[in-house]
Amino acid sequence: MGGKKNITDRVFRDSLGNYQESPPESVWAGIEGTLANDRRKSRMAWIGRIAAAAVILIAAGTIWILFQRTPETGVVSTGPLTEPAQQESAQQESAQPEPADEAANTESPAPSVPGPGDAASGDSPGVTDQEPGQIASQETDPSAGSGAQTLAMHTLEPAAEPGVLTPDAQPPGAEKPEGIIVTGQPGQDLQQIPGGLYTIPVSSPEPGLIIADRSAGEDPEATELTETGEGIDVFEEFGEGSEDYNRWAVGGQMAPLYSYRNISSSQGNALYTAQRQSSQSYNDIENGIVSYSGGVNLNYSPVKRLSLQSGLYYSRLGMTVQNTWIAASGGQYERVNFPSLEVAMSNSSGDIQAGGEKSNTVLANAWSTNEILSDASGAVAGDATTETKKGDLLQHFDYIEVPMILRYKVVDRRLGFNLLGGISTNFLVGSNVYFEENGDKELIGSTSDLKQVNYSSVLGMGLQYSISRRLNLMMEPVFRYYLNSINEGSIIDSHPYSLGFFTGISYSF
Amino acid sequence: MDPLDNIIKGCLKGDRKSQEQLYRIFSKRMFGLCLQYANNYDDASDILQDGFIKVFRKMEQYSGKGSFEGWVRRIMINTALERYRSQFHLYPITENTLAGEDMVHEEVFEKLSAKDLMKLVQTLPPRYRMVFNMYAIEGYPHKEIADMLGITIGTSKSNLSRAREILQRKVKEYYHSNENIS
Repeated sequence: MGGKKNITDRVFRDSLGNYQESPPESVWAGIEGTLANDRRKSRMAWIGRIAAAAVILIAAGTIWILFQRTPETGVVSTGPLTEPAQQESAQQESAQPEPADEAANTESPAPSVPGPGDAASGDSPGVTDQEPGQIASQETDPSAGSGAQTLAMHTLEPAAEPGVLTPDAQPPGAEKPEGIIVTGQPGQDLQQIPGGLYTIPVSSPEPGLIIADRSAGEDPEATELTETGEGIDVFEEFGEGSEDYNRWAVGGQMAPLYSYRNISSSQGNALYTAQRQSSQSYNDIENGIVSYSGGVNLNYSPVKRLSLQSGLYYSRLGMTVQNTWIAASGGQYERVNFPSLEVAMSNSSGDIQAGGEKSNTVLANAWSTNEILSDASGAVAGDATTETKKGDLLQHFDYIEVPMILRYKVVDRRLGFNLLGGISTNFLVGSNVYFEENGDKELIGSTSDLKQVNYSSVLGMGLQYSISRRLNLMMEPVFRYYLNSINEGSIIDSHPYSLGFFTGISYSF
Repeated sequence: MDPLDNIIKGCLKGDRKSQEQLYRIFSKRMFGLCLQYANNYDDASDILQDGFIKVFRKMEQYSGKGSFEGWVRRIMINTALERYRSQFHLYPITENTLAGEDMVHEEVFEKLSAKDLMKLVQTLPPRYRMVFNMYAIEGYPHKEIADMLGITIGTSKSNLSRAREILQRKVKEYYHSNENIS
């Protein structure tokens, strides 16, 4: 028996061990096509990586530049002053806001401070009578001689709007002070003091500028100015009228979205499913899906209310095809005996092809269930290794998107409202097809004949809330519609669309 | 330098011409191999295509140790096994076992062409076919077959035994028993 068994092995080994047969030419064509696809995907992947690296480099470089910048401070134009060593009294901190942003103020008796002309005389009582809530301005005192300056005290009143200083409350006839001097300690972070005042960071705008330390009860001393970290400028504005704004912003967004497609054809009957009952439309058996999108973006604002946005997003679109049968060909049956079973099934988007590990799987649309059951039964009877299942097909279309979007701030406040619109270039990176049965999902192939690059229009609106001057939250419903059909060479034009609710955060600088 | 080495180098660079040359050199032998593992001609074509795509994608993994053809052959077999594992299988309900005195004589086998023998192998249920090909033709030991198929050694031996019996029965049915020979 053992010898006879070995005979079987030996006979088959001798005959089949070196067996050769020419394969069909279609095999090399398939290999060549797949390798060309690999090269194309590799190029697209490199483009994506380079684009992502460029966005990250730009963001990192800009943030680095940001931290290298000195804080902005104002310069008080005080005229020529004596050196600090010559000024033993009456020293003030100074900062210079925009002249137009001066607070409402009222005149009050102003103590005098030594100007350049007085330095040598030594009689410099200094500023000792300032109260919190008051600001001092240096003004030219004609009576004290050429170049002499006195200190005029003004009481600041809280502005009508937070962060906005009203210049309108100046006493009639009063000249605008040339400079505003704010009490407080140099180098302090922003602090609110009675009267609605804020201390501001101090820097030395000019050599020789005397800065007064106005701690209560202490003689003011000249201090070296140090640069401080930035705080919120006392004239910070979120609303209209501010000339300062951050031009650049980087951010991230993500969204759940509903995806489906719009189909049309110059041949009306093409909108109905092939091979089956002519009254069955693709719209009857296909449905949209809920999926997701997300990405990073970079914004540039050439003017305050308008910004241009680009970035990199990943979006998953798709749809389902209901009532689909699949059968695995594990036996000896010839496909020609079961004409209703196909290796590739057409739908409105392209050809769904079982492939890879499931390349022996055949698909069929089964609204003509009697026919399918009959064929499936025949397949089962012909070979014991065939099994059929019924469920839905889930098509995914995965895209890397590069948008170019214009965003306009209709309402430019802490809580703002935006309108946005633009166009997006979308690169196809995946087209998997899954078979779903009773909640289980199984990869069975992909959709072929899809265009690799598509263009979509983008329309949306949304709310933007400024957590701080630089940090913003965004909530935007966005509608995207693919301008060109996603399938190639089909008489059916299929235009996917999606509606997503994007939430995100951005950092401006 | 061996011409095959030049072609392999070209394939590593992604040169399309080198890839086609490599395919032409090995395609016939590999297709013959794929026919043994496949259910039919179309299946074998698919296995060959998938297998060569893997060869080109994984070319840099070939270390140079052992023959290149052996490496390609191994990839083809693994591709066929993946395909087999992914199929839905319903097992045959009955299997008749040949009695010892009905075993086919060697002379009967010798009357069959290679193509005939190939068709007989293709009639085997996939799990028996895999084990028979890997043991009898490729020479894999049962332990390695068991690891690759995810079965026990005992199951591998049992499947081999069944495969031999089925092949002998089919040969006997095909060529009318040993009475015609003696």
